[in-house]
Amino acid sequence: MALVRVISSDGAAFLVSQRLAKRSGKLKTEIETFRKSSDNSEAQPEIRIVTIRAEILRLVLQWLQQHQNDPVLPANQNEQDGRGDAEMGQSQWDRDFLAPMDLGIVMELILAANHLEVKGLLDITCKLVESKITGRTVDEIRTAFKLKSDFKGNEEEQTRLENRWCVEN
Amino acid sequence: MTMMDGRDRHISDLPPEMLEEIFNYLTDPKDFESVINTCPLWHDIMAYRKTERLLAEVFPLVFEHTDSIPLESVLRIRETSKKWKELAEAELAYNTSRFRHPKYNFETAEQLEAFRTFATSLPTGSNPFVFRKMEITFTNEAAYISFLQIIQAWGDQLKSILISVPAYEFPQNELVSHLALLPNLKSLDFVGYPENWNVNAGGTPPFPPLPHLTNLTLFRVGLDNGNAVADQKLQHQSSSFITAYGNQLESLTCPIHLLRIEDIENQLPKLTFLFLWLRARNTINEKDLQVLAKVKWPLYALTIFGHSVELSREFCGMISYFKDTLKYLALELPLEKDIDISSLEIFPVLKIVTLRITSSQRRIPTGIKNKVGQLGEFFPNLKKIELHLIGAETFADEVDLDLGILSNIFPELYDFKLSRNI
Repeated sequence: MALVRVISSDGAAFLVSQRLAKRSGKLKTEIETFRKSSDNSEAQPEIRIVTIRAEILRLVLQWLQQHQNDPVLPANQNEQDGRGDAEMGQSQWDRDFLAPMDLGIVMELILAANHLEVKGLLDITCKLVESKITGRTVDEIRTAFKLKSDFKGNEEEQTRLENRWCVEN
Repeated sequence: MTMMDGRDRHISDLPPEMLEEIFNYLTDPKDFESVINTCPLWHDIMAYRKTERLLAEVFPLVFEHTDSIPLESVLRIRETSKKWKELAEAELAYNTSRFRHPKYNFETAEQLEAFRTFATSLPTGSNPFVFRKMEITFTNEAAYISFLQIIQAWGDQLKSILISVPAYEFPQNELVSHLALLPNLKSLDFVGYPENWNVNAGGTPPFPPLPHLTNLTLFRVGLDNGNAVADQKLQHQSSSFITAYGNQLESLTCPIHLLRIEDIENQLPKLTFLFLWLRARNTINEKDLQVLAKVKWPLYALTIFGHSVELSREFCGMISYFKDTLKYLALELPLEKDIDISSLEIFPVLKIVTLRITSSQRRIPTGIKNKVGQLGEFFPNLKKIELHLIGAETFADEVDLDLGILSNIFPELYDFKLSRNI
């Protein structure tokens, strides 16, 4: 089985099958670039991802491993049966996978999935962040994202008043 | 870093509190990302601020990859903090088609007056345009006057405006000079009904400086109204927008004939996004192709829509001219005409292609896969294809089109969408 070494920003190396790695658009490109530039077709590619630390890279590879046999569905077929990509991909396993993560980790996973071009993972993580905003009050959003208000004086009230034009009939 | 005592010391030798203080000075989210990805210690020091600091990067992705985020959520985000208010406004201004809000689209003097009353009720310094955008169609003189009062008071809050020029005799030159009341404008859309423009006003409108303007759309301007003299004046007036702001424009949407300006190849030096609109009686001609093959625009997005174009040798040669910069290409082409690939070159950075394929046959045309397949060797790094099939109810080989099959042609492909308009 052809393998590839994927190395995180903080130096941890993960040895995975090329077949698995190629489920990531970015890794697929890197593997092919390596192959083109290497004289030895048997050489094991080594790919350093300078923007993703080990904890997050491990999670991405874990997700890919679980989903490596997912069929590649044509997007239009998904739309026809009324289920979007995100729902197609969101299994009980995905829910259990995301459940213990704090929001900071989920946000790092979004950036990693975007960088590595892993669309299924990007969809489910974005949906999770969206659920922390939609239907929540301003205070709930601030608590969830550990955000302190930096409004001064009447600026917060002013912003609320500005929003009124969109909301009221 | 080297300290005064002569011994080499590293930034890692600093106590965590000091590192934290330094890292808090980094305002760019990319720098923050670099810090947390450097080593576990640095990550742990800054972990408590991740959600807050990474949002600027994450928020646009959440917008892009969820289709359900409602306006109310964006308005809530706007209320959470100053920093996030900016983020929310940027997304609202960027996703104008998704969050088009009818309440900033004005057509009558009454609507404008209601808005003016609302804006007046806000504390001084407020921004009544949550989207930093307004759309206006002048239906009469009263609406025009009301509009002027609004932009006199709050015009500096606007970054984007769409102006539909009215169906009555109208002081176009005066309107153009009033753009000075919108000094922060980034995007200007001008929709004209030229048959009603006062083309006898003559001369070039007095264009005020708009230092932030980068996006210009000119739509329905200078249509062929059968009168050659009037046509020429209209074209001159419309093109004068391009001449006036050409040096700063990054994005331009216009009908093809507005580019027929003398010396166009030396204008628009920063143009990265070009959307050309064609019509059956005003389509791209040989001379246009020659001119477009001479321009030096660093285009990364090129769209040519409105009427299908044959991908002739000359046409393929023209688009190949932009091969080194083009990341997005959208074309409308006839199914029944062959693509002349003899002058097509390899597009190394092209990532997304949208094709509107039109068929003149009503009965089950075929050949789409072959047509798209021809492009494979020229677009080796394509990630996403959108196909719109137009003209027939069913296309014989559309069942053969899916991501799996297409990725045999385009090895990098990971997103494919197919739609049909009749």
